[in-house]
Order: sequence, then structure tokens, then C-alpha cells
Amino acid sequence: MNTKTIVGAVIILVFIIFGAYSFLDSNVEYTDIAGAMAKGKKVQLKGTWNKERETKFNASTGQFSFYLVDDHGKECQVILEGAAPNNFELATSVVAKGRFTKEGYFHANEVLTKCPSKYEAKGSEVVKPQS
Amino acid sequence: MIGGLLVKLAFVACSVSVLAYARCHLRESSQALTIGRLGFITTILAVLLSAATLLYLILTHQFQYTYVWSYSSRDLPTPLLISTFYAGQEGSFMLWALYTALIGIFLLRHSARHGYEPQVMSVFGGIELMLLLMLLVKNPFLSVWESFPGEVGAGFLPADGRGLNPLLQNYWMVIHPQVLFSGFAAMGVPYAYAVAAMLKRDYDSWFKAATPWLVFGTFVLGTGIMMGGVWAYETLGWGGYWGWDPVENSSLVPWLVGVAAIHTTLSQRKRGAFVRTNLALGILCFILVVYSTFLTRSGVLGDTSVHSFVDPGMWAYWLLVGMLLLATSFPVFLFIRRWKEFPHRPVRHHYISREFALFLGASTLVIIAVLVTIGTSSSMITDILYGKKSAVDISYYSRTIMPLGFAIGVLAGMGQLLWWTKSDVRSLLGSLIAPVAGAVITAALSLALGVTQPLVLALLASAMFALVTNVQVGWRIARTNPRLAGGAVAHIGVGLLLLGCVVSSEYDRKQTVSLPQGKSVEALGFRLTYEGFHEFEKDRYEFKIRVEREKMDIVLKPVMFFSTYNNGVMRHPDIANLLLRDLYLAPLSLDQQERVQQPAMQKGNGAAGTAKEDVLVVDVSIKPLINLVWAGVIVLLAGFLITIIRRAPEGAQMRTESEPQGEGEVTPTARAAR
Repeated sequence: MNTKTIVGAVIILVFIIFGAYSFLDSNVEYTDIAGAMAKGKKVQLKGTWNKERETKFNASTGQFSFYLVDDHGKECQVILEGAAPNNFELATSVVAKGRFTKEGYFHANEVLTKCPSKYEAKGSEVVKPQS
Repeated sequence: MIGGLLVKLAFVACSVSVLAYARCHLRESSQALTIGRLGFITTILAVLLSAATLLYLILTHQFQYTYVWSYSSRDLPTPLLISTFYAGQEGSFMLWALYTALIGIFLLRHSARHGYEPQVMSVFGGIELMLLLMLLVKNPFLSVWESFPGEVGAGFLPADGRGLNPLLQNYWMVIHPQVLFSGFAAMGVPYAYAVAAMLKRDYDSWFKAATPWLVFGTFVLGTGIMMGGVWAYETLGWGGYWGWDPVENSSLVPWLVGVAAIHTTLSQRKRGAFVRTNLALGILCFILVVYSTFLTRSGVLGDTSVHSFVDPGMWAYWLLVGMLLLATSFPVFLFIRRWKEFPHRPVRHHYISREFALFLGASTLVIIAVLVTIGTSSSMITDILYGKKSAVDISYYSRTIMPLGFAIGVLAGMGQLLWWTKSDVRSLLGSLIAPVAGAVITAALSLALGVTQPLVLALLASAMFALVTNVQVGWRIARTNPRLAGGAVAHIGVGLLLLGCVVSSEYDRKQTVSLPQGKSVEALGFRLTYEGFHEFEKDRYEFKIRVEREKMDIVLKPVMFFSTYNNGVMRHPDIANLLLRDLYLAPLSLDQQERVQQPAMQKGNGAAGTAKEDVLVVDVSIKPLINLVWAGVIVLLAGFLITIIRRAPEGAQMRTESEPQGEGEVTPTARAAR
């Protein structure tokens, strides 16, 4: 084994360790409201949109806010940087990426929507075409 | 039903062909060879005909077929109607099988000329066989009454189809998947040659036959990746050209490994080194294509991506797993069995030699590929580690890859200056003057412009280093023999691309502004005025925004509309390309006073409305030097093209051992020095 192979191996090893560290560090966990509050760092908060409570887009700040209910029925306000994501009204559940702030709301940079599988066709649709 | 029969015929013919070729490999037999050939030609014809059948069904609106009904409709213009061919999983596997068959036509003769036919064709036929098996499971020729038994009566003909997702209704949809899948298909060739080399125990010449295909595959795949980037940037409104999304990543990874293989085969060509590495990388390119298909088609990624992943059903899932296992296990098995036979040539070379630079460069590319793969597979990895799925944050990619980008810049320059075996230090130092000066000036200039992050400064300097070196080297080569300039041209592209990526992503500025109709608002140095919207196509609205600045006065028209297909608002940005930067306007919403929510989607002329004041909310962003990204990719791909032109004749008529004349025994620098 010559020195060049060793040099190469060391470089690769360093990067693998660096990569593994970055991976664990930037891994964003899925959690509920209690977990997100306890963690304090960036998480993915899973829940559903509470249609009863105020949902609006604030044009002056460019933020979209809504109330999210998690699996345990706990509720919190989510403020997203940007407009409502596509298909928001239809989503069966939403995932907000971000963290809790001192003011008590969840500050999200991104909200993903999970939709009822619209691409999965049903037989009834074939016979009775969509409006 | 004829399409389904053709797929079955292709499957049977392909199985026969693979078996006959395998028999040929075990013991030479002209009879088996003929059967193998005829079987493969039958496969090609049957695949072509079944693809033509599907296209015919789509063009003639035969909505009794579930696939046609699911993705097309009568109102689509012809190019988009054609693109519905691959709008769903069934069709995209069909497209892949089609391109594999088309490449097979050329490969059949190519491999025969190299005395590789039984081995290469049995492996390549095996790939086609897997794709055909997938088509038997995910059959695009099912009728609606077969898909929905009990719900739909036999012989029922729906009046119209469900239509194409408006996100896909775009000219990029017509071309991008085609290019990407032909790249996937082409990557099967180096794989077939690498496996064939192990079967034949020929470790020293296979890559010469495979190189043109490898370069072609990476060229096509690279083109496809770039098209996806442009699509995301200019119409999907993701805000950038690259979002580290699993779908993007999974086509990037095989490309990176392919590029690494191009570099290491160069070393084997010159010095006989890297026998095992080349075999491994040749195989890995295609395994990664299959892995990426598995990731994006099997539904394992679930919610962790903006692309919607449909669960393909249990059969297709296990078939994908099987494909992946088979594509991996067979070559790995061979690799282990042949391990002791591989010629081992301890190459004596110096640290400042081209071989070592190539080795480091290829290693860097592979490390990037590994890091991206880990990130993309994060939902699976965390599922195994912690028992629940989670994804990495996008910052993971920039954080891990930026330092490697620096290495790429340095190596893309150094590799071109170094000689094989050992470089002459004095002439090396001489040729380093201009590139180092370029790098230092860039860093100083950036510092003066307010760039303070050391890593960004280093990246910019290394990119400029690569750029200057390769312009210098490329110019010398181009004057003597332009056919040899492929490497230099490609590396000029790498330099430009690095510069463009760093500047456009690190220094883009974004601001969300509200534009009351008719009133000018200042944002990021531009004066924006919203002037109303109009319906440019049925139910689709564009929003006129006047953009002014000193001598500039243009109108941008981003688009928003409500789509009944996916019940959501579709938004398309509009972009002003200002040479050194792009002004990017992404619409967010239109607030019409009194009429809250779902504005603009109601009929009515906003411009004529007198009392109501409409407020358009847009994201304004400035993307500096984004043109360098496009220019870099185009130059990079041009470099590939030049290399294909150079290597193709060589691959076509592999001369015994003599290298074609003119191939640099010495580096270009040395040649110029003579």
C-alpha cells in the first residue's frame, strides 16, 4: 500500500465523518407540538389545519398564518414566510418546517401539504366525468 | 389489446435472446448467436410497435384505456398530447424501454464489432427484460373496465379524459423526460460493458469500447438535468434552478459517478491503472440509475418531497426492489469472484502528476455523490436508525458540498497543468502564474465588494483558478488540434458554473411586496407598478407589472390561475434577464378588497373595476450572475460533445493497442513548451 492510497483513504474518511456529522445535525425530526416546544430547534410539525380559526395572508409582511392541530388535539398558531402553499385548502394533513418562537407561535419556512391521492383514479370517476 | 400482446411478445423474445446469448457466452455456438440476435431484433420491433400503439391510442383519444383516460384529454394541443405518453408511471417505463430498445439497435452492431456481443447483449437484454417485466405489471394497455371491475361496464367509452396536470402543461414536459430517459437508457451500456468485461476476463480494453457511450450517457443525462433546472426556475417558480429535491438529486448522482468514471478511465488508458475502480464505477453508474428509479417510483420517500409520489402498488414495489437487487448482486458477485484476477499494476507516480489529480478529482465527485445519496435517502436511513422517517434540511447539501466545490475548482485547474507520471516543477510554476493571479484578483475584488465568508471567497477564487487555467490550456490546444479540446472546454464550463452557482445562491436578495393597483412601489432598486390582469387563455390570468429603473422600462407578466384539476392555485413567475442578474417576480396572491380569498379566479375585469382597489402580492428577487450558471452548463456540455466526437471513431473501430496519433503523450502545456 503506497502513501497516496493512504492519503486518499484519509481524505475520504474525513469527509465521511464530516458528512455523517452534518447529516445528523441537519436532520429535521417529525414531531408534535409538545415535542417541538421541548426541542426548541428546527423540526417538522405534523398536524391538520383548523378551518374554524383565523386563516389569513398578511400582504404587508408576506406571511401566511393559520392554526394547526396536532395528533393529540393540541393547537398552535403557525406563521409561514410566504403565501399559502398549493392545495392548502384540500390538504388532509400539513407538515410545517420551522421552530417555536418566544412569542408562542410556530415560525415556519416551509409548509408541505399531503393531499388525498388526487392522482389515484376511482371507477366512479370514469363513468361520471368530473364537472 | 394489441399493445399488451406486443409487450408480452417483446418479453418472451427478450427472454429467449438473453438465454441464447448467455448460452453463447458459456460455449460458442453460431446457432445460439443467431437466436440471440433474432430474439433481440424481435424485441426491438415489438417494443417499437407497442410504443407506437400507445401513442396512437393517445392521439386518437381512446379513453376506454385507463392510461389514456388518466392523463390526457381532448383539449390538449398535440405536443402536450404526445407528452401524456410518459405522464404516468406505466408510460415512463414504456419510454425507458423504448429508448433502451433504440440504443440496442446500435449496440448490437457495436458489441459485435468488438467481439463482445454475447456478453454485452445478454446484460443489456437483461435490462430491457426487467423494464418489460415492469410493463407487464404496470400495463398501460388496461381498459377502464379491467382497471375498475364492477364499477365500469365492459365496453364503456368515457367522453373525455381526466386531463394532464397543469404543472406539467409546459413545453419542457415535451422534451425534458425524453432526454432524461434516453440518458438513463444510455447509462446501461457502460454497465453492460463492465459486466461483460468481467465475464470475458478482459480488463484492459473494454472501457475503450464503453467510453463513447459513457460520455454520451453523461452528456444526455447532464442535458436532461439542466432542462429540469430551467423548468423549475422559469415556470414552476421554485425560486431557483436547484432545490435538492429527491427527484433532482437522484438524476444528479449517476451523472456525478459517470463523470468520475470518465476521469478514471482516462488514467487506465494512459497508464493501465485503476482497473478495479473503472469496473466498479462503470457498474455503479447504472446501479444508481436503478436506485434513483426505486427511490422516486416506489413511494418510499413519502411526504419528504415536493414531487408527489404515487404508491405504485405492492407488485411494482417488489419488482423495483428485485430490479435493484439483481442489478447490484450479479456484478458484485462477479467482482468478488474475479478480484484476484484483476491485473494489479502498482503505478509509480508522483504527487504532482496528472494521475494523482485525476484520482483526487474522481474521488471528490464520488464523495459528493455519496453525500447527496445519503441526503436523498435520509427518510429511509432515519426510518432504520430511529424507527421514524425524517428528512434532512436543505442546508445539509450546501454545507457538505461547498468545501468539495472548492476542491473541484482547484483540481479542475491543476489536473490540466500536470503531466502524466511526474510534472516538471519549474514549468508548472510558470503556467500557474496567470491562474493564481486570476484567483487572487477575484478574491480581492469579492472582498472589496463585501464578501466576507472565507469559504465563499475560497470557492470564488478556486472557480476563477479553474477558469483561467482552462482558458489558457484550451486556447493552446485549440490552435493545434481542436478535437482534443473537450476536456479544457468542459472544465471552463465547470469554472463558470461554480462562479454562477456560488454568486447566485449566496447573494440572491428577496423581498415580498404588496402592489396596490396603479401605485408604484420601490423594491430592491426597481420601481414596480401593478397594472391589472387579463385572461390570456381560458381561465388563466396574467398580471401585468411594469418594472422601471433609470433607462429600463419593461412589463413582466407572472401568471396565476385556479386549477380545477388539482383544486389549487397555480403560479408561474416571470423573469427579466438583465445580463448580469435576473429580476425574478413570483406572484403570491391578489387581494381584492371586499372579495377575500380566491381572487382573480372569479370572472370579472379587475382593470375596469373602479371602486375596488386590488393589491397584488409578489416575491421580488434579484439573482446575480445566474446567466453564468446556464453558460457554464452549456459550455460543460459542449466539452462533452467535443469528447464524444473525438472518442466515437476510436470506440467504433478499436485498434489493437496503438493509441490514435496526436493523443497527448505529454500535457498540452508541455507540447506548447516544446
